[in-house]
Amino acid sequence: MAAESGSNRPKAPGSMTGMSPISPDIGTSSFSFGGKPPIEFMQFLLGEEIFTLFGDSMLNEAFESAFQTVSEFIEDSVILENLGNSNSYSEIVTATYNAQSFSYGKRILRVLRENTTDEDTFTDTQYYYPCRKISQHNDNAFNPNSIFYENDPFDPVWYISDDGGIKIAPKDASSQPVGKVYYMSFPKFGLGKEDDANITHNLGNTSGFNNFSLIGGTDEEQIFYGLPIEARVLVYLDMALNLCMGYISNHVQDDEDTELVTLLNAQVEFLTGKRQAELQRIVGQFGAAKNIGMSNE
Amino acid sequence: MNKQQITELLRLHHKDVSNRQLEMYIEQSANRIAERTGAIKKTFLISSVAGKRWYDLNHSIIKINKIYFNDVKIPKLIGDPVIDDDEVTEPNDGADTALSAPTANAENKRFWMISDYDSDASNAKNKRLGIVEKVTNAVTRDGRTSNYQSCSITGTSNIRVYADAFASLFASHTVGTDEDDAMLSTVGPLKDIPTAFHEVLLTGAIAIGYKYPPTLDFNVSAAFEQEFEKGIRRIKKHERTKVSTGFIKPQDF
Repeated sequence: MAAESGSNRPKAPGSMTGMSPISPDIGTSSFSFGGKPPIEFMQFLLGEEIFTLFGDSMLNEAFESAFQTVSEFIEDSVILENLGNSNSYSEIVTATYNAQSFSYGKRILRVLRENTTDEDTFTDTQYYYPCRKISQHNDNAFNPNSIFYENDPFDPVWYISDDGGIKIAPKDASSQPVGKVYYMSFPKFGLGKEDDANITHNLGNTSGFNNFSLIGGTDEEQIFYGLPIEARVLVYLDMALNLCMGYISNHVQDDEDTELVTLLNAQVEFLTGKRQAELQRIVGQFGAAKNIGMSNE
Repeated sequence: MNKQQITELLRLHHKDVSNRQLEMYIEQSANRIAERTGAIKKTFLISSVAGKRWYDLNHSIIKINKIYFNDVKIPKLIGDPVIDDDEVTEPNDGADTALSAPTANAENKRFWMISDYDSDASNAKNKRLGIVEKVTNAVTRDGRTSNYQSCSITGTSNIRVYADAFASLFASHTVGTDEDDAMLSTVGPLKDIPTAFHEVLLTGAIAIGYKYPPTLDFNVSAAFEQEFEKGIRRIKKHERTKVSTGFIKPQDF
């Protein structure tokens, strides 16, 4: 939910200038696309003629895909900083993150291991140490005779076990140590906390956000947990592009509707240009440059 | 620097290697410093046994500087006694007659010597320290006479060896039990190299790391080797001057 006060509070736009021509309503969107809910901004981006081509299913999938695409360009630390309003982005129960398939469908952002003994004689602090990721399959991380042996609690490691759970090493004697796993699951319309307590975006039937079209102007944040507010436009552009491209490849060629093809192509060209400019800005500001080959790090 | 700090600095260069590898790089760097500078000096205690000539030496010893027996400094014997005590070859040679037990004597003219020969049946490679006593016509065999008999005294930790040594290794604990290492600058090689020269230890470890994948880069390694050499010279200078005032001033009491 948007904040009650502060710079992120819901507010009505002060002027009608620049508002979407789709609807005259003045909403309370925290992002404030003229106060419109996301669905109306999508309508604004695509235009009425094209927008009416798509149903809920296509809209949902286009958003889910766009979210994943955009999040790939954003560093883990930025994602983590933008998860604060979600209640499900960290797990401290060892049995839960150890459990089968915990890592599936999630982006693991950070794993910490708590030291077993006190390190500070004044406050008895047991510090958390960040873990490096290793693969359990290609080395001898747990063989004491190997140069690949990992047994330093001050430089711990994590890995995904055979069953998809997350494990931390070194163990605390023979047990899994106390740890903390930060993650983000990707939004999936129709899946909410009633299905899995570790879902970051609560988009199930219970929440009432089980379709993209049901997200109101003040609920926009629900589908954007993890992404900085500056990246939302890019997600919408990518979503619009997904919709147009998908429609072109699936329907228009069969129908030989040349007028619609021309319209969609023009829209794709426009969206591609906008998306490219927006992507460069986002990558420059939040980007994990190595992911897209912009750096030799 | 404590272990965690030096490991973290090392990981800035070699981020994708295991922590055991990082420990090995530090250990190798420390051994190179020890070998080149003699900066690591230790004492080792051995217990003498009446009739036993040869004693295993700790294999971290590089060079013996002096030896005290019962708190008395004893000289090194130049050359070998003409009659040896064949327990030097382990397992003992039981095929011939052992030398008779040496008799204690009041002269206490003891010498030390070194043997680095092992039996081909031995699994370990150890240098051995020999302790002999000079007693006129002490041992005879095959018509020859030797003035050197084996040590005739049994004692507890009564042989003190002062030596240049290689660095200690990081403890290889069982899983999850080396919890308190990281805060300490007194673990493994870190306790052997003076704190002021931990920076040199780090430079050497970085250089060694660049000689192995996944951070193999001989050019970078050479650059760090140069820095390491400068550090070695600093440590050598420190070793030469740390206990010397440069001149001796007479003092009346």
